[in-house]
Amino acid sequence: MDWVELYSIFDYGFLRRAVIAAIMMSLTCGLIAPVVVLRRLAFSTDGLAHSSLGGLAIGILFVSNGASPSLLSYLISFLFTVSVAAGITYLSENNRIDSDTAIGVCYVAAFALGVLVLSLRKGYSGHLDQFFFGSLLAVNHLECLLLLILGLISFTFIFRHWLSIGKWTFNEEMARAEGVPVKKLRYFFMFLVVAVVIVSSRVVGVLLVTSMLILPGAVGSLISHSMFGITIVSVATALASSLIGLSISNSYDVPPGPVIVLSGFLIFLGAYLTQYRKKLPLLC
Amino acid sequence: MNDKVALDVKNLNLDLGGKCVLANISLSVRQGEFLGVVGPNGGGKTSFLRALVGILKPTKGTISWYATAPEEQPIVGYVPQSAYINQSNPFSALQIVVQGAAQSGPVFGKNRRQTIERAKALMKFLGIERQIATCYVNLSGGEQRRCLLARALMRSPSAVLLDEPTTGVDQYGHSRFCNILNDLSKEGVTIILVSHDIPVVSRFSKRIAYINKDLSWEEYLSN
Repeated sequence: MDWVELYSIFDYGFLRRAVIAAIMMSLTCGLIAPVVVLRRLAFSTDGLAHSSLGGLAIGILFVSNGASPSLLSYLISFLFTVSVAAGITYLSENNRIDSDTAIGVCYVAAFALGVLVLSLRKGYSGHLDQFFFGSLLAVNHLECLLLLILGLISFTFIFRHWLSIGKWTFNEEMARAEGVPVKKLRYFFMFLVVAVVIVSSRVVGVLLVTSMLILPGAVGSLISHSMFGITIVSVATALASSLIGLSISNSYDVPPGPVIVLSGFLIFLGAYLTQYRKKLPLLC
Repeated sequence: MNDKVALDVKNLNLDLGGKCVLANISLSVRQGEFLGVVGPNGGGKTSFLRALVGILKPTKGTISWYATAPEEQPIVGYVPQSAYINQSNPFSALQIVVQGAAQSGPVFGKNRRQTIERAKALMKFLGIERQIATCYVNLSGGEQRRCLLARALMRSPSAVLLDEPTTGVDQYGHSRFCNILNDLSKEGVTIILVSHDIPVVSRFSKRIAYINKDLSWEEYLSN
């Protein structure tokens, strides 16, 4: 692929939007991923991602006319997924079942509901795989704007509560003793993850969106000792995997979502295999 | 130790899961005092400490902390019994100590340098300066406790509460740790230490309180 061919992709509106969406998704997921990894929320995040399909399906069923979700259907999905998260919290609160089981029970039910609703919709013109594996090239202006807003919210949240989040990821009880509003942090972070998962699933799909919230953070934690270093590496990993994935997808006409995720996995593998080298200098 | 009150507990009651854990505890601690809290397993010592730092809300009663100067807000440091840490947590010992700083947002420029220098100075004071770049999870038990104490000291607290800080630490480590706490107490920091090790507590503290759901007895020592 020569440079002329590379720059020509910006002549096409759908490709411009795809690049913008991929970059915004990477920046947002890269900022959040360290917290997901350090707080061991990988399974919870996966559960929320699968649950979001139920909400998206209900939203599209009642609101959208086309295959693309509207703002209202995203809102319905957000409310549905937050309800699932609240249900998980309720089920695991009195210790009759542990939180892993509660997540597993709830997300499969929500996911199954989503598949059922999508298959029942009359005149449905979309395909299930665009939700499962994403449709980056079909991203519209609304989705780009939502990703931009979520990116700004994530950056503001992480920046303003930087040390508090660091304390929270280390040990929740100590953080509480040190005056960190742990409960508020937990709830706000959950809402943020739900929103990011729902909109980012348009880019890489419900089945793969969790990887964008885990792989970058995992790479960061392999390479750096400090919250700052982990976050920088996480954002860089997310950006690199998105841009590499997008260019490979464009060159070889393969779906971008899986290629983005595989690029991230290869970066993770590289970081894992070289982790015994001296880690990056302390950047706290 | 002076006569000013650092902590005033009045009629503290705590119920957890419908069970009475602490009943009618009233206690006053002076600034710079070294108070040892002992008692049997399940007697409520840890719950007492957690109520003092605000992790648990009392069912009844009041807990009042006072700063060294009237216009200041009291700052209380806390070193828990066994901080649950994810064993793959990558944070270095220095990062853990730096996190104890008072800010919630990021620290930049001169403030950042000062924060890191203070963290390193505290680690040197506690004898763990060689572990600055070591992952916290790779430190020994004693080193981890000292790292958490350094973290608690970052905000220059008027009081530090420690829950079984010497569990799993050898006798030499016990004494060394308690000597550090004794030095802090002489500098005016109020120390409340929960421990099973009555001989060590008796050796270093000025007063021992025995808690078994209520404040069964107190004894002043001639240390």
